[in-house]
Amino acid sequence: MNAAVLRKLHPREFLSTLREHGIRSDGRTHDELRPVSIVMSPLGCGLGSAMARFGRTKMLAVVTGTVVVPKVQQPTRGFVDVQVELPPMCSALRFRPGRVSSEAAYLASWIQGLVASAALPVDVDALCIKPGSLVWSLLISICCVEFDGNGEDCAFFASYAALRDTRLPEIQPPDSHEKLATASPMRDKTVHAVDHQVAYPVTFACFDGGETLIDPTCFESDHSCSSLTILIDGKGQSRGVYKPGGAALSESTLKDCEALAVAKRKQLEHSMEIASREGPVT
Amino acid sequence: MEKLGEMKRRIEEVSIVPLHDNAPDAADALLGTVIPDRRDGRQAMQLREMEIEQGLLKHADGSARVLMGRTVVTAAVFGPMECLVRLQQIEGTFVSVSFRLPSTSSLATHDPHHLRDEPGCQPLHGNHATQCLSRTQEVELGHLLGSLIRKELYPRTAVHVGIHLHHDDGSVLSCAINAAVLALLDAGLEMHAVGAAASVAWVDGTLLVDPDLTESNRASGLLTLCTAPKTTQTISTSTTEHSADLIFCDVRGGQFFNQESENLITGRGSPFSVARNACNIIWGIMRASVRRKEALLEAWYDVAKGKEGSGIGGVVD
Repeated sequence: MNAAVLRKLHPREFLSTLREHGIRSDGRTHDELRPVSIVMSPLGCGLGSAMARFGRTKMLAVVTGTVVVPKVQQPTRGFVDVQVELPPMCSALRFRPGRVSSEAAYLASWIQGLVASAALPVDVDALCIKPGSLVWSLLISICCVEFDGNGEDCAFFASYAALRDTRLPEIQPPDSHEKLATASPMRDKTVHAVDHQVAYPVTFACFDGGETLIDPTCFESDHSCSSLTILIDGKGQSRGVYKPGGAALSESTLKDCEALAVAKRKQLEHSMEIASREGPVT
Repeated sequence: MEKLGEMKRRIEEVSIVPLHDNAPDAADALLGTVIPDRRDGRQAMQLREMEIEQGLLKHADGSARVLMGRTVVTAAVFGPMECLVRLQQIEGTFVSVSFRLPSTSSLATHDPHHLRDEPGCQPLHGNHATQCLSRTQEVELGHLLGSLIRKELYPRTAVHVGIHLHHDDGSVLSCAINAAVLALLDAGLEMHAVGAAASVAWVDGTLLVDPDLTESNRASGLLTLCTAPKTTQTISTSTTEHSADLIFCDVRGGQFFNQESENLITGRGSPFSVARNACNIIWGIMRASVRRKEALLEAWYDVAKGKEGSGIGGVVD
């Protein structure tokens, strides 16, 4: 039978045959990322926006902000919230309209966890305008435009680039004539951390026999045994490992994946650099 | 007949494992450092007292209650049972998990860290009713338990695991995983492997195994690991050999190291290897508990059948 029929009827055998020959269905090797492209300010709305593309997976992130009263216990801290939407437009077979799907809730919670744990550091003290009375509350809205696997990495880079693109404007409270800016001296940057403190995620799909494919497509991750995401920071140290269940993984596979992830970080850093150098799209 | 009644009572009460004399020496030897005492007098690598009770809920197919120190988690398994047609899978069973906070738990009434504010986790009916603790952890636990069960043996059915957190004193996720696995065993579902979970926290530059609530809050990194040892020998002899497979790993907070210490994964004193040792110890505890219950059930069965010379004495492994 020909390849298209095999792919439809026996997807696991199809994938394992490809793996034996060392290639994937889109011609990559097991350790190649898809073409990554990050664009800052593709939209004029919001305080900052960015679009990240990993092959055909495209995610758009917009940062909007409101000025709120801070918590009493933490008068100088701002807030960062994350919301992810996977509408039917990105993959009609997978996502139905209506209430938030569990994949979207999972992604939102995952990115929120990265922000809270400083893997994607946001200097919440820099969001303070007037201690005790006014702080910024940022909302990162991520919308998936097309979904073809590896939502985690794509959503991360979209939100990271959107945060770097964010410029907090001056505000004028109604009861005074002076304009207030954020308390931080570097008021035009929200993500204060230098890039090497940010932990980049790299996702793998794991199969029987300890083989892994980096940056899996939808088809590959649907028929994989488990998925693994490793966070690597600028010094080449792993900052986090996420393996939400799935088949068991041996330690040697984990170490191989970690080494590969460290190597891939350079490539992703390069993409981020190009994005921030090119600046906003006119 | 009195013997039967007495044995029945003993089965119900005896699955609780007494204070476990876990060995911190092997892990201490790994690090070779002097470890300061913790708030409750434990060593850095010492687990809390663990109690296991199986079969406590009569209406569920399987149930278990696990206490790790003061953290109390109950898990109930229903299944394999009928599944909605749109959720049915031809090749296996559909596993769903609900991870809830019953209104009687301590966290429902006193929540200083706003753990209940995650979107999608509002109370089910009214303000003080049972509410979902974390949608994403439900999804993750579903994947985890789905990989442990031999799903292909129960096609087009559903298995539901309900986990309730009664008291939170740190290490909730690992306690929940242990409770769910024991409940699945109690329900008699066939499994590929029996996973044991443990948590490790990085607090003020030291690794602490099985952190309690104050330690978790102060921690700059928290790692929950679930592994399934492959070996069938007693686990205490295999701490140096990494024969366990990693099933589940979740890291909260990323600050697991300072400038000069080792990596997260590799290295002798790394958080992963420490957590793995703790998982091995917990696996041993779980195994002992299940063995005791099995032995008692066997003896009870023998008595029920009226076999000669049957009884409790001398049956335990």
